Amino acid sequence: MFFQDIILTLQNYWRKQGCLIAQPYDVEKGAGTFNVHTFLRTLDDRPWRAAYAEPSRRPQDARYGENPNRLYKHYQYQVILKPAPADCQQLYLKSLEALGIKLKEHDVKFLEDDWESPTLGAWGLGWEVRVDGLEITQFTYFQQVGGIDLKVIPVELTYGLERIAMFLQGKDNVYDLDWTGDVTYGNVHHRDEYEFSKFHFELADPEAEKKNFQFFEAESGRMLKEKLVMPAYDYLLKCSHTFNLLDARGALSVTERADYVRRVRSLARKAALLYLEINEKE
Amino acid sequence: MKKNDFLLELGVEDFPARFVEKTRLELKDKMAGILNREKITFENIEAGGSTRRFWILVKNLASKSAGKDEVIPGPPERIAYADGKPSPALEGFLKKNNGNPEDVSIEEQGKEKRAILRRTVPGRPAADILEKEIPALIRSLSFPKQMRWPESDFLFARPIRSILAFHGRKMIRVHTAGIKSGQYSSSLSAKLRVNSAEDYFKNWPSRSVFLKKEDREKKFYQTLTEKEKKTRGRLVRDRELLDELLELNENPQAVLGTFKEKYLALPAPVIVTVLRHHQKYFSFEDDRGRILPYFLAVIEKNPSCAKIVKTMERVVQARLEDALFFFKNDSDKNIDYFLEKLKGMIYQEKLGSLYDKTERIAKLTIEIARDYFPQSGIDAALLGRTALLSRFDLATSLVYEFPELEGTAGEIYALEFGETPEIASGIRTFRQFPQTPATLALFVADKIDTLLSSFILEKIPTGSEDPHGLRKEATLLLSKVLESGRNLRIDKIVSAAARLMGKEVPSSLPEFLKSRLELLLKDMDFSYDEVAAVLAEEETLDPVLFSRKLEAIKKIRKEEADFEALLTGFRRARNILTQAGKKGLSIPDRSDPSLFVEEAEKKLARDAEELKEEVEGHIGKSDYYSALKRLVHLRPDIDLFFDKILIMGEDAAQTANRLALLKKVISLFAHIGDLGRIVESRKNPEQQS
Repeated sequence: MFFQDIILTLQNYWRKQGCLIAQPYDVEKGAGTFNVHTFLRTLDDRPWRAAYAEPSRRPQDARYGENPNRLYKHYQYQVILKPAPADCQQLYLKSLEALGIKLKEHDVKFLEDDWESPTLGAWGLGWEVRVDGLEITQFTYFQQVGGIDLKVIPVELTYGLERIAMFLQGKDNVYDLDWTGDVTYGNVHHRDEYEFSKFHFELADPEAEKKNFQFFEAESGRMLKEKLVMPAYDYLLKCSHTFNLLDARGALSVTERADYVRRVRSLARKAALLYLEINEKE
Repeated sequence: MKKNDFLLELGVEDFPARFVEKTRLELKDKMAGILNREKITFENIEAGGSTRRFWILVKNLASKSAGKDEVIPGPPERIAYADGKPSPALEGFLKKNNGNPEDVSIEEQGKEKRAILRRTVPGRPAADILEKEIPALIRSLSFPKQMRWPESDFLFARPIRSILAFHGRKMIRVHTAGIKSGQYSSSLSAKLRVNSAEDYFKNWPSRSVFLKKEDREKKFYQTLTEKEKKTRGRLVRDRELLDELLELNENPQAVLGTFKEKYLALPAPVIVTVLRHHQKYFSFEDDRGRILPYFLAVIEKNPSCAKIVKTMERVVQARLEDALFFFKNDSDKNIDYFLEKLKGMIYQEKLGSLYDKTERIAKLTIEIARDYFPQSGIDAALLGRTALLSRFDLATSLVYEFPELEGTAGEIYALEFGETPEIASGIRTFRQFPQTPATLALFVADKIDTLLSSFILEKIPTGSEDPHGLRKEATLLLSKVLESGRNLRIDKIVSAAARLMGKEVPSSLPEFLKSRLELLLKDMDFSYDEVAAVLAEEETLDPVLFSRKLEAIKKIRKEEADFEALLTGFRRARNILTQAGKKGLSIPDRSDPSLFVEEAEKKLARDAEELKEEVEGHIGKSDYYSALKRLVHLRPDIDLFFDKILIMGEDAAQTANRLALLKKVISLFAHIGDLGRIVESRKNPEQQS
């Protein structure tokens, strides 16, 4: 199955499960959880089902396009189901079958792996799902988001699309994946992997990025005061990405690092509270 | 009475493997507790589990609980009846207790006659009791990490998705967390209809779900033999890993994979750790302990599926390729390169880099070795080098990628870079198994530096908050020192560490360490009052010294009946001195033999003087048991003294002289502790039971 068909198959499968098929959110982020369709929508107690593919940027994981398994930017397929249905494990397994994975012929394991995002003030309990020893999905019952205990517990499924594609196509190198019949993953992304690695590890200007962080933080705070949750949240995302960039650049000491995390988390908490406040009035 | 087997099964979403054994035992104990309390007889209880289910089997459970006789005292006879008829008081009493007038009799109780309700409460159906008790049992379980899910109104490790409860063929109606007990039990790929315990234990194994761990283990070994043969070597045994895999796989099958020989260039511990930690796979070795290019995985599917092994091999290859890349990368460097890198790695803001920390530790380690192990033939230069290299592997890319290799990687690289085997093994062993005086010194220096720097930066544990795990660090420090049996003055070492940092010891640190030691000693089965007595008003902190004193006290209390009486005298003497102090009486430093009048005081003074040297001799040799044994001999003297002598007499000089004598007697005990804090045996709650 081609890379793009994996996405299409999952879109179709989850559409049939009543998910809103949403689009990626156009601000840099480290994981699909940061998309407003997950972060903000899990806060209130209204039912919500959404699914979308999300490009996720992790400067720390950049490898100059030389590592066959690691990428600065990879694609997640994200499903959020609120409330978590009682048969969500079965629903998930059926989605693997939809991708052509015959469960009878493979060893599927749900291994304890609890998830936490210190910057989002979010955590949950769940598993990493492994097929024949290969981790392909993170499966989490959220308990807290933005530091707020959730009233209605959602489940989040995060598929690692490249891993699944490598598994299905039997490839050892991510850049050899067939995106379509005649275009490889490497054709699409190899150059940007190299360039962003150069940028993250060697060329990014730490002092300028620190200033950026300050500005983004201030702007987010200002928008929170104006009770505009969406721009505030966008600037929070920019803070989070800038922090990841500084971290990869090796520009932060251990305590500085902790301080940056705390600052982003504090914005996340305020944005979450503001979202709920606005939501209640509607 | 009718008896039948009772089955309870909780079907859960994949539990953390590490919780399974504890949960299985807790379920079994609590179920037995319920049945005993409710007086429902049974033959025995068995419980089992895996990451997907927990089951309890109660053999021959009675269908009803045993009845019980009740006696409830009611109102006195004089108000129970009016004109020979039950009064409102009696009627109220009966109504409250749901009693019948026929069951009331008048009986003598104490000084008066009362209406007494006597009746036999019949047994209740077991089904009714279980219906109510099982949800409570499920709720009562707790886990180190817990969650909620939409249907739950309590916390649990993972969602519960099905409940089976059968007594014989009768279904017990259990309702909890949005689930009603039903007829289906499931595995990830199969569903089984169940009508009784018998069905359950017969039908699951026939569908290759093995409910008992011992059966799964057998199954595993059956499939292992052939694989082991193929490798011409043997499996590197790992009980912890096997236990985990047996919880995760209800039908465990061993499958064998291989990897390219080029990865054998990696040191054996690196290969074993990478396979185990990341993939939960076993390694193989030949008869000379060399690693073979095979791994063993445990799965639940038909192991003939070649595709499964292929993917596993691909993942293993990627992992080993990473490890080899980092290993080669590091091996091209040298020790100085990594030490230089440590300088750029901040340990704690304001207290410098990791390199600064290792330099401090090196100095402190040498001081400890010099002060406490002068006879151990430690080479200070060599030990200093070990300490300086104690953290260099944190700068390697191998440890950055595989943090679980910390220490192991240190040893490997140190050898690679030409350090001596002694230094190399010291780098690994001091963290967990400080068995030689040299590694113990390094271990202590390292832990004390960590604690001290955190306290200086005011990262102090409060209440339930201990983000830096300092309580655990302190407990580890003290327990390893206790295990070593060596006298180390932790308080002095802390001061030395502070001096090396150019800082003061934060006032809360000694108290913190003392309270950790107190807890540790109590966990070692010393009673709280003895621990309090030994630690009281003690400013020094020599854990081994305290444990020796406690052992002596424990032994003497067991052997010498007179010891308790001696303590009574001791407490009395101490009270008198306290009161004298309050009255502002001055007490001379030593008593004057010429001022004693009575024989009782003369004798006590003589005997105490005689004992003094001997007791102090024992104390000097840390032989607290012999010291206490001698002190017990003073008991008749002390008893006689309090019997015959009026301490606060008319003559002020004589009174002061007697107080001086008491002070001296008490000072004999002071070497051991404030024995007045020891609670008399019959009042000691820990010894009561």
